[in-house]
Amino acid sequence: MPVTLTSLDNQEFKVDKEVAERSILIKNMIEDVGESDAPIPLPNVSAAVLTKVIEYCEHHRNDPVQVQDETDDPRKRSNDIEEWDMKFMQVDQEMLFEIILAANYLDIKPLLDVGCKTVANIIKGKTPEEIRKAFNIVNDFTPEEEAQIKKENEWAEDR
Amino acid sequence: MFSHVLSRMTSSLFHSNGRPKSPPTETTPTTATLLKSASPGLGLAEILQRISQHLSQEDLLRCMLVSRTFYYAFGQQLWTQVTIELRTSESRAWSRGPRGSRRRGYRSQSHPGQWIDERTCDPMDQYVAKMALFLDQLVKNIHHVRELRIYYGNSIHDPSLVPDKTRTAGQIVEDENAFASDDDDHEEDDPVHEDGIEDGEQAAHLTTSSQILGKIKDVLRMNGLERLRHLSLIGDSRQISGRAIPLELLVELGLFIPTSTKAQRPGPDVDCNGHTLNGYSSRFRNLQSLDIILVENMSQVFQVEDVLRACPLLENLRIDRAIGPLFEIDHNDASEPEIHSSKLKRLSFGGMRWPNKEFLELARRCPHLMSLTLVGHVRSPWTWTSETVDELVKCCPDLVEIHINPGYRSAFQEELSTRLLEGLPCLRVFKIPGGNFGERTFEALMRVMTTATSTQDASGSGPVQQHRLISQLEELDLSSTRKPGLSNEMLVQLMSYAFNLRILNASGVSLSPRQFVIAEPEPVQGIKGTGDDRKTVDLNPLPRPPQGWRCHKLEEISIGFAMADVTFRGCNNIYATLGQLLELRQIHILPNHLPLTLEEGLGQLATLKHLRHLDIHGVSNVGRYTDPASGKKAITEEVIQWMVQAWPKLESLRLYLDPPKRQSLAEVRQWLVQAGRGDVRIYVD
Repeated sequence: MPVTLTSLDNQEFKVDKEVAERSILIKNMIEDVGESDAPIPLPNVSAAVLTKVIEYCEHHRNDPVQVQDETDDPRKRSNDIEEWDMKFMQVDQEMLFEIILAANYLDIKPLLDVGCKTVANIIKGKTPEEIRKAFNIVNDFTPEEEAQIKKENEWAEDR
Repeated sequence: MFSHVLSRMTSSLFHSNGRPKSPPTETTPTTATLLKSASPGLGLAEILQRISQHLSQEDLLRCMLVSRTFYYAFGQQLWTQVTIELRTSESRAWSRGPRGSRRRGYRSQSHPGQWIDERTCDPMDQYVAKMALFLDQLVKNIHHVRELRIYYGNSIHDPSLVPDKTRTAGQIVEDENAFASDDDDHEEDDPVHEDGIEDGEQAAHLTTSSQILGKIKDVLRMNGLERLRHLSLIGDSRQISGRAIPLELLVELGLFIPTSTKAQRPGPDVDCNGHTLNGYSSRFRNLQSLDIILVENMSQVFQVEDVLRACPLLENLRIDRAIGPLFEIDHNDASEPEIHSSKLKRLSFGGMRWPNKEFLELARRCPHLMSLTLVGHVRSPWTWTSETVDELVKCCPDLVEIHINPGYRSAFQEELSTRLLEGLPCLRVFKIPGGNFGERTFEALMRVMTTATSTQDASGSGPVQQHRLISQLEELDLSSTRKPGLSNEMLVQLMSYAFNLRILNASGVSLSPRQFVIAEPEPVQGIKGTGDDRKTVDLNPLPRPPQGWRCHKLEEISIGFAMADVTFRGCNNIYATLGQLLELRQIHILPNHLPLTLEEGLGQLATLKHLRHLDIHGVSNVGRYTDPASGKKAITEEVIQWMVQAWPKLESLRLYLDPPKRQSLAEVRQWLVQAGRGDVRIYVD
């Protein structure tokens, strides 16, 4: 049975219920409202972003429910991104962060994880200056503040 | 842009009063204070936190220097998980490099397999100075700490360290006994050690490590640790002598109460919510996971009871290599305070003696237990009886993971395995290496289970599903089974139903490559129907016509093949079959001289895009050498290059090098570096 989703810019998307329910937010809304043809409003997600999110959910429609392994250190898994997901995340930075925000809002944990891993991979191994360049961030520290932070972290130098 | 997104967070998180806050200085509030008062905005702080979870400590430290936003967001994560590797001095054998080389350094405990060379790591005095700085910062950020791991006993010596002339060798022993166990008694008549360190120098090391230990104790005494969720105190078990967790530390933490002071144990306090707390233990009242590995030799009985009292919310408990029974009950003392049913879900005990009676008493208090790991004591035979197992499955019916290693000299009777398999319907993990295995255990693994479907009504007349126990298992360890042991035929039959198996250890079985055949994936089928109308769709009755392995979810495999079958054709068959198990992360194969060459079919493993670890016993030749005994070809640069291209996630290779060929290991390392994968670890055996 299809479900209709309405984006921020009032565009309607008809998707299979199974696909829409990859979002825990939508799943709960459907459960709360019951059987209904009324469109589900998603006022925090634009049509462009929703298109990408639906593409992701379509691809992962048959994935088992993710169970977080508490013993598994996420720091060891950051480069563990499936090939399809990696290609899916090859978008410009603005879209990347909009997808992360949408995944957070729609409560799609696997998509949120992939997004966060992608950003982490961009950061990895870069110097502070390179990170600033990569994300167009202005250094708003005073020289004194920077020196203070370096002093705080002296314990980690050349460990 | 990222900066745009971050600015949305910044506006609510860091500019709440219109002016950016300065990073903490000696006089300004700490990060902890600022973050506590900050509002999370649109949950973006959580997103940044999620990103930070995938970063290493080095990356987090660099991020903190990017901007104020990054400083606060990533600085918090830096202190969420804290690992302290406490280096101590000496141990002449331990200060040697791998395979008896003269290189000095230590093996990293937190990063297994990593050798920290003395030439590249901080000398002891610098280490102590940096550790002091680190601990100062830790104290400031203690409220962020959720996971704390303390590794004891990486030893390193520093010849440049000036001996502490105020101490004498006599005081060393005293000092050492006060903080850590040591068994260097054999060095008593050898004042100058083989590595040239005099006892006076060791005294200086011990002093500094004692100072660090004192600071760590201060940290553990701090009030901020109430938020701690996971605590690991890990001794170094890889040394022959061992650097053990000092008993004194456990006493201070309230995790062990010496018998002599039992009478002075404080009575229970009651908090404002009416929950019972013990005053001395409230520091760990929120602890969910505790690992204590290698406690120093104790003349007294270690009591799990004390730990459970100190940590009322504990769900995971691992105690390894502590001496003495794990649980003592004073049967003569009627006033002994009763422990209420614990919340323990995972329990792991290793290398300890425990009387059946005490173990069952503990099991009775763990009705929620889901995972049980027991490793036998090297000097104690396994004393379980059928009644022990029956009582265990009765007390802990939710057990889904069983891992029992009876120990080198002990046998785990087939009767016990069978009863476990028959008594635990929810089992997902079954690991009993070295246990007795025969027809009865095999039948118990193959037994048909009937489960109700979600649509079955209260009278039980709804549809049911049937499957075999082996089909629901996710991990299976039947390595080195005995009397008579797991046969080829049994293994093949088990694997033809192991639809959900992720980890298989069947080393010890000499399988023929002809019996290692992967079948097409097949949906799990069973009985469908209602009441008397139940119809058998496919019960997969035994014996079945020639079949294949159906464990398509396998991620780790440890398996052996019969030597006689490891021919050119046999190798090709093994590689072709392994290449169909697309989820494989780890491969361990244990015949001798299974060649790692493209000619013999290695190229068929190119499909394994998730492969991280390859361990094929018998790769005795690398570089330009050819083993004269077997005539097998060596690993070549071409093969190494092929590996790193075919397996992008490769992390480690295990090679078996004969001593004369050790030199060629450097060649393999060089090839990996040239292929841009110098990060791939190589283990040698």
